[in-house]
Amino acid sequence: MSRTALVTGGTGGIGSAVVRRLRAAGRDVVFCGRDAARGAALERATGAVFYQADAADRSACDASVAFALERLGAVDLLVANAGILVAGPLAATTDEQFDRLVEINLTAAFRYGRALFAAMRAQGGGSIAMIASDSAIRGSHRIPAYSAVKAGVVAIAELLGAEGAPHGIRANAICPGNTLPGMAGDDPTGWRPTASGAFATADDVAAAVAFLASPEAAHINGATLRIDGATGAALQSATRS
Amino acid sequence: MPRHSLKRAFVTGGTSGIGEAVVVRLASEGAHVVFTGRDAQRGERVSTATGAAFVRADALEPAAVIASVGEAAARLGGIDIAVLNAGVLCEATLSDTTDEQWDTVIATNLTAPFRYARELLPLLAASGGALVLVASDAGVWSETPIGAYSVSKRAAIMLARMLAVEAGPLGVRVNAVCPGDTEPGMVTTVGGRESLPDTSEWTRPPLGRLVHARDVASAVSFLASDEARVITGVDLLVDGGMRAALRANTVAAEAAR
Repeated sequence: MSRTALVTGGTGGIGSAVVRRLRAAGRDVVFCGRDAARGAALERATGAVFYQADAADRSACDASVAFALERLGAVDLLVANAGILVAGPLAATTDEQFDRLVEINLTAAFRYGRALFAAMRAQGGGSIAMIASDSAIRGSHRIPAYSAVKAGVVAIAELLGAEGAPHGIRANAICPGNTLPGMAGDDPTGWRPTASGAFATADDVAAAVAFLASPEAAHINGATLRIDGATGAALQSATRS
Repeated sequence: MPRHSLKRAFVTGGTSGIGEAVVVRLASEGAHVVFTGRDAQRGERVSTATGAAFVRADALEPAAVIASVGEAAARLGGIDIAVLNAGVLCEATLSDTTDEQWDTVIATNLTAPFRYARELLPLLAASGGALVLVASDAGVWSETPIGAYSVSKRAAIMLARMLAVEAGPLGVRVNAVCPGDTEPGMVTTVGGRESLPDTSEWTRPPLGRLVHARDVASAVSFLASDEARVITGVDLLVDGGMRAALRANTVAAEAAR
């Protein structure tokens, strides 16, 4: 039975919902984030263990993996969730913005995935949830660079799933639509709800993470799960954004 | 009149493989071509053979990206066709990919096309031009033996789609071509290889043969032409049908390893 988890970006909207959900299910959890105050608060509220690490800092990420493996003994579940948002046209996107987006949303996901893949292979299995975005599948013109980078995150999940299948390792991509609280914080101003008329909630995403990590999902590997209220299922001029 | 008569074309990575075939094709169809590459010797050879102008530029150097686009625009008096082909392969599964390999693949195959496209958009908007990004079938369906490459190409395809959405109102079209295993191409140039490795054991696509660089150049030429004037934001597989039914036996062979 899987008992432990490492969650990156655990102090944010979706990340903190994931931490709460996994703790409620009885897992021992280490979570990473930049904000020490929010980390400490979530630690107190849930009993999960906070490790301060900025996903843009490779040595800090490596240290967080070593800490989690030491603290938890083994990591059965990686939730690679840390991410930033860059909005606006590609023509106006700076090198600094693009490089930072690649580093945090793509490279950190790869490096955490690679590190935990090795650990899980050594321990005989595990599962990985990559938090991507529905924009990775449909493309969102307001966040074009973000869409491209998140498309890469889906590929990471597929590849680790295919590579890991013979070793008892599963990896799946979760693609939330516009989520509250999420990338936009708690403020939906300027964001459109999904085709359902409502925003996805961070708890909806956490529920999917918990399911995909569970034995019930034992044969779901390399899959991509949209949590977008059908926004991506068909083009609808009223909801396309 | 040839298809690209008097068109002004810019091709990155034009000194070998698919890029060279694109330079040859566009030049043969009447275009004035400026192409980039890292290898001055190969650049001069292609230049001599085609009449196209070579500009030495490494796609990994941001200053070279800006300078090469500027030089091409100055020499040609504008740009109607841009082909972003420069790329690098890395033969490693994702779990075995080093930081150095990853950074090179992502910077070359994703970040450099972004930078090139950003430089080229105003020029293409002025001419009502077209951009073609050379991606890969590995960006459509990931391939475990080339993990980081697959990730970079998946992202690059979405980059092309997003560029198409952004540039459409400016009268600019953007498409991606996704070649399967191509000779000459990545399989021949990886690691400095100059000849094709033994491919006799490779899974063949339904058409029974590897893609030739000329086949990819044909698709690029079409997408860059006025015949494709309402085609934008697509990713066109040029793969002999490989994608139609995956490489089931390749996957099985790896799993058994």
